Amino acid sequence: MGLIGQLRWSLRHCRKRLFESVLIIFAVGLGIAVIVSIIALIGSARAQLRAPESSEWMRTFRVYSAAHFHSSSGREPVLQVVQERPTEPLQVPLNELKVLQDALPEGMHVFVEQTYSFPTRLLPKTQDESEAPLGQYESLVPSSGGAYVRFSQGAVAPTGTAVTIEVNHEEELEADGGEQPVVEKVESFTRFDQLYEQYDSIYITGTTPEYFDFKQYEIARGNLFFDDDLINGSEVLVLSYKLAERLFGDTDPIGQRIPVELFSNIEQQMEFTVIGVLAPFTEEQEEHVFFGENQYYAYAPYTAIPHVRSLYSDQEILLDSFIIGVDYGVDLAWASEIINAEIEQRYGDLAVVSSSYISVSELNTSNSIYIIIAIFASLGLVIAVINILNLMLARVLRRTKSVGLSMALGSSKRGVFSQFLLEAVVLGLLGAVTGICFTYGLLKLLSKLLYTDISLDLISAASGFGLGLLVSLLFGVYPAYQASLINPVDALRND
Amino acid sequence: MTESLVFTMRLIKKRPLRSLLTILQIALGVWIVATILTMNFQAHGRIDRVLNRFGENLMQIYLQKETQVGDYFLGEIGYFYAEDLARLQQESENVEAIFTLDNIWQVRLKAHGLEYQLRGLTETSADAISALDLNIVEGYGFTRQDEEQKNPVALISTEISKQLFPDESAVGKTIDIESDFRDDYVTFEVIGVYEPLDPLLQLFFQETTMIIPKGSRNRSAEFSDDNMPIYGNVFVKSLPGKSAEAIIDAQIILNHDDFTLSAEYFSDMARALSSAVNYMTMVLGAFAFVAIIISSLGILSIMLVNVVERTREVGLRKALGASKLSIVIQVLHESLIFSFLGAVIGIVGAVISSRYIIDGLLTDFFFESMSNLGQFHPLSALISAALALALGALFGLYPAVQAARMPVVEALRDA
Repeated sequence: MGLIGQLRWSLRHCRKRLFESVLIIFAVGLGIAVIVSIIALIGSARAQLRAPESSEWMRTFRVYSAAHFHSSSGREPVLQVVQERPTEPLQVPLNELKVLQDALPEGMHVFVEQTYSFPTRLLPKTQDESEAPLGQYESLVPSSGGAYVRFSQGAVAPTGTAVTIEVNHEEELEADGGEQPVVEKVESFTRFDQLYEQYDSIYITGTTPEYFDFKQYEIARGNLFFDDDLINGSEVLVLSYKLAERLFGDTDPIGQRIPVELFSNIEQQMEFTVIGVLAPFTEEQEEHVFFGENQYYAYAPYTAIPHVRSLYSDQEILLDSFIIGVDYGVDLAWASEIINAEIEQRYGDLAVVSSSYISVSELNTSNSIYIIIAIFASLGLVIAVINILNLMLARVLRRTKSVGLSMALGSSKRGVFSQFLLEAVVLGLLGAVTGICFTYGLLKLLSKLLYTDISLDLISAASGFGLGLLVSLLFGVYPAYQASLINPVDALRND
Repeated sequence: MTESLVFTMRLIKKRPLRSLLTILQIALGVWIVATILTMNFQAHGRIDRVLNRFGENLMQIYLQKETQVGDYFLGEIGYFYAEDLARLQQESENVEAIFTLDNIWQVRLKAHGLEYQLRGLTETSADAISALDLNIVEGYGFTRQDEEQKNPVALISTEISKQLFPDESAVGKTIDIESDFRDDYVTFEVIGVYEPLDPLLQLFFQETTMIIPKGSRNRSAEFSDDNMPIYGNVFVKSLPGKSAEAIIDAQIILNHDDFTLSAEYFSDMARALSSAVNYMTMVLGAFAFVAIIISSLGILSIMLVNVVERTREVGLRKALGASKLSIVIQVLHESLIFSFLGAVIGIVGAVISSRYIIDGLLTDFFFESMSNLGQFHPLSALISAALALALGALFGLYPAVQAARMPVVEALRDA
């Protein structure tokens, strides 16, 4: 009997016990549907998340001072006997980063990154933001810069702050007499804490040249800054494309000077010179910059940042933390090991390395939830499989006589075995087809419920099919083996 | 009746592998239903306990304002002044207690010569202890006087007591706690041991927490008039049914500058958690539903096979005068016995596994607020067993009727 003949024979047997066969197919189908839906769900969730290694967070290793570092993962014991933690803070001279950089293998970049915001007079806020009337003024004291005004409502105001105001009636601003005019517009504030309300800030990241190698920012015009600039503390600035556009429009930004406001309450300014403009950020890069797309970024040598300077004045700059960035494509487990070993060797227990990569890989060890959901999801199929096994065994039993007869008429054991196996496989495959239909419906329903588009892709459909085949093979083998063991003499004698 | 049961048992024993597999199917279905029900009941039980204990009266208040910086709105959180809080306590008739919590998540302490790291130290007022209805199992809580004088007294949880002073009473012992000044330790006397609050109330007095009066750790710090202590974490317990009024009182007294006061009710948080638990039950319940449907189909098909196999026997019994009803009952008995045995095994499995499965699930989803809920819930056993029996009866009915309808002559002829 050829394969086609055997197939037809199996189908006839399935039809003979139609109801029973339909039940099996239905049960296998349901079981497969649940598993394939879960696979598709996980697949769509994966597609939404980028592969973790590619994200910049995962590739960033921070080195902290152990004296300031508190590890706190959720499940520590209530009380822990303390092993002496160093009281001395980590102090790494800025130029030692270069040495560390050379000691580390290629693909790793050692740098500092600290972002500060500075309001700048080059970025006055657009009118409609400050045009809203502040309410009626209550009292007014003339002063050299304009007047002290107290408002009745709104941002109660810069009491004791020198402002210039415009009023809606051209009345004299006198303390008493007449109708009180509504203050429509505040022209300028001179105190620092109001600078934020009047000017936009630029966000200047104090950093070292290696930073650009890690971030892989492209330069559009001019130059990046180099080690010399870092050593000299040159007040130079590399602008992001958007900031350059906003500040200078079409004119050439290179060589322009940008004044920024420093320290609160003291009117103090400094100027940076623009030496370069970065290419526009890619979408992926924008996700990683500090505040999102509309903010205005610039990069300066760490030594040029006035906050840093004022802290160390003329002395050598000492860092209590820095960053080691690892290029995309480098094996993170390996990198993590190298970095930990290097830091341990250099700074002993003074320094602690932390990164998302380390904490995520620690988390992954306690991922019981995936195992539990996998158990729940596959339970239906397990039950269906038990069912197939049971029914196939019953079929073998029921057909003992006919098997005995066909063996007496010359069928081989192998023929009987493959006959029963084929029957199980047919049931399994029909179940798989049903299961994929169910999955299709289930995923449509889930997409509606979860407001995401989850579609049945080829891989999950194929895996469903494979699962059906595998399962039926696995549980068809034992009954088929039982059938092939039938002794024709006993079977025919047996009633 | 008994005779019919014995007869059925003999039939079941005749095909041991088949019966075992059928029972196993049902057991698996029952197991998943019982497990998921237990998870649901346990999680809701914890939420309800918290709701019952505090009702609608407990809330956290905070001050906030929004300012526009560039293209973004920045939320800013304001602080409460100590004197304002005292005034609210005095003046409002709707507030039962108002208290602050200063939590320090990592602190060092020394006890009997060893140095430890403690995971939670809370500086608070005496009112917090009474307002949160803290159960002090040994010793006593500190008083308002202790608070005013900043006495170095401490309350520790039963867990800390067990770890620091095993086999002896902790009350009267001394513990040195690190102050904010480096290498400066303050000696505290343990005056009481308390039972930790439910993990759902994570902000308060957990097993990891040690409680001391406000300011007692940094007693030397002086506050001048223009440098008053300020508080961020402030909690209000209103008199029963007066929560809205208490908020209004608080708004009148505590609002300052441009900040506005808003309140977060603990009952709302509990309800949000409760709906999250429901959602989870629904999603996992879908798995359970599919599993139990498939195992019911299993009973149905295997009973059909049984009936077909016994065609002759049924025909014989009918020919000998058995009523249709007795045949239906006999087949139903069989499927009910399968269901019952399956339910027993499934429930035993759920009791054993719930410790790992439920604890794992809930802690992974809800973190520590839902930890240690691995105990099996008896009601879920009852429900899942009833479900299994009902399905057994329902899906056994068709094969039973099929058997009863069999024409005698054909049944006897057919072999």
